[in-house]
Amino acid sequence: MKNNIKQFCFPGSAKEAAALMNKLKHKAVVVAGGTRLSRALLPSVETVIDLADLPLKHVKADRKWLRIGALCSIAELEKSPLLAQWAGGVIARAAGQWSNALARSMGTVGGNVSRAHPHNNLPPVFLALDAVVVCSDGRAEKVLPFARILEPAMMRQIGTRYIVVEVCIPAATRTWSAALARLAITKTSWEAYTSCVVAVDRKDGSVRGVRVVVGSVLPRATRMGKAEAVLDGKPCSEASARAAEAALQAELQSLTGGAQAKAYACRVSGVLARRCLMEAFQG
Amino acid sequence: MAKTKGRGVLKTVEGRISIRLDINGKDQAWKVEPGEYLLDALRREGYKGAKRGCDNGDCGTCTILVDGKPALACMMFAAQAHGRRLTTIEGLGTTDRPHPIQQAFVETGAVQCGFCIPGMVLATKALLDEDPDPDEKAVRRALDGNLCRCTGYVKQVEAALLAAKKLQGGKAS
Repeated sequence: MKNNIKQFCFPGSAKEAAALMNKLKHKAVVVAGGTRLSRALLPSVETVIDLADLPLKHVKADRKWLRIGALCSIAELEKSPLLAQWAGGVIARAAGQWSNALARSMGTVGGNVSRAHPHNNLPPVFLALDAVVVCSDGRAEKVLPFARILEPAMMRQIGTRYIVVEVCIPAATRTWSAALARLAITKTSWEAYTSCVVAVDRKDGSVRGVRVVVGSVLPRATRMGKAEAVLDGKPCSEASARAAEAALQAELQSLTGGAQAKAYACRVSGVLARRCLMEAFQG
Repeated sequence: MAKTKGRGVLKTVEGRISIRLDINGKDQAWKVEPGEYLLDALRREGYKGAKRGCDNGDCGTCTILVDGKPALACMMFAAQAHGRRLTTIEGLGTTDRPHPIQQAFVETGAVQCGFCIPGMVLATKALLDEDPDPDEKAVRRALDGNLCRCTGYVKQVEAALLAAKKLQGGKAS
């Protein structure tokens, strides 16, 4: 029991919630799904700001963006008919592979993004689909590229200075072909040994644009630039996928500093990337 | 404090927070401690069907329904239930008049020590409310957050499938 809590606030808008959070600073904490945070409060916290009432439970598309509200549960993403059609359904599939049914029912997109643990399923997918994140500090909204959110400096400010409002994905990605694969103890084990997401924009049997993202191995989801460069403009073939596999393994080994403990993860990540690419090429 | 359009602000008065909630269709007014977890409050108020297992969101024995969705009572503060609609196992049926899901668990022999069963039954209810005719895969996915140390996750799955048939066939007791 946390006896240092003195009040609970249920704001009705993100602006109001963020303003309250900025006003109370370290004496406040924001809780959404609460799958982890409610058991890890700092002793300084006197106010719990419950975001459950915010009108941010939408999954909708307009001409420019697919918009996913921060308060959408992971289960809602998994069951969304719109997401099932978007980029080969990769967002829905990633959501469906996250933890167990109870955690998916409680956990939110905002929490998954703002506590972007390397094992979380959604950050690699959002990174691969060129997502941006809309944040609010109570005075103004800020739009940040998804990769920026994953930087430690920004991560520290999410939930202390900024509240995630929505994740927006460019409408152009709707027709991309995407795939994900992960190696874990079971299909839904949260702590994957490694995971890979690939998103391909194809034209006339060739790669017009591609994103290759690895999760779990590094401290945060990371795009593999060298593997992407190897694929650019190349035919959608097994030879291209194998070349990308080799490039990814070399790049990942370099990023992990050649650590022996990560050598297997680097090899497996390459294999997963190749499989994802083959699936995306055929999708 | 800024005025809110949400459920407002709950302040501590003499070490307690007053909350109003709907449990199993009945309006209730509780005074809870500010940092008290919902599981503790429920059990103190007599809703002991929600069990304390891991107390860390891992085992599912404290599963309840919040606004119809499965949730872990050990991971929510009691104050967060303010203004919400809760369903506990006590709201489903009684010994004399069990809910069809409970009846299905009995008929299939899905209950051994029984500790995990309230959570399993409520997780099954959440599934069947959303998908009245699930296949085995869907049942297994819906119950994958509810751990059972007695059985092999076979009888409970059979129970959920039987419950679906009972509910669809109007054989509810």
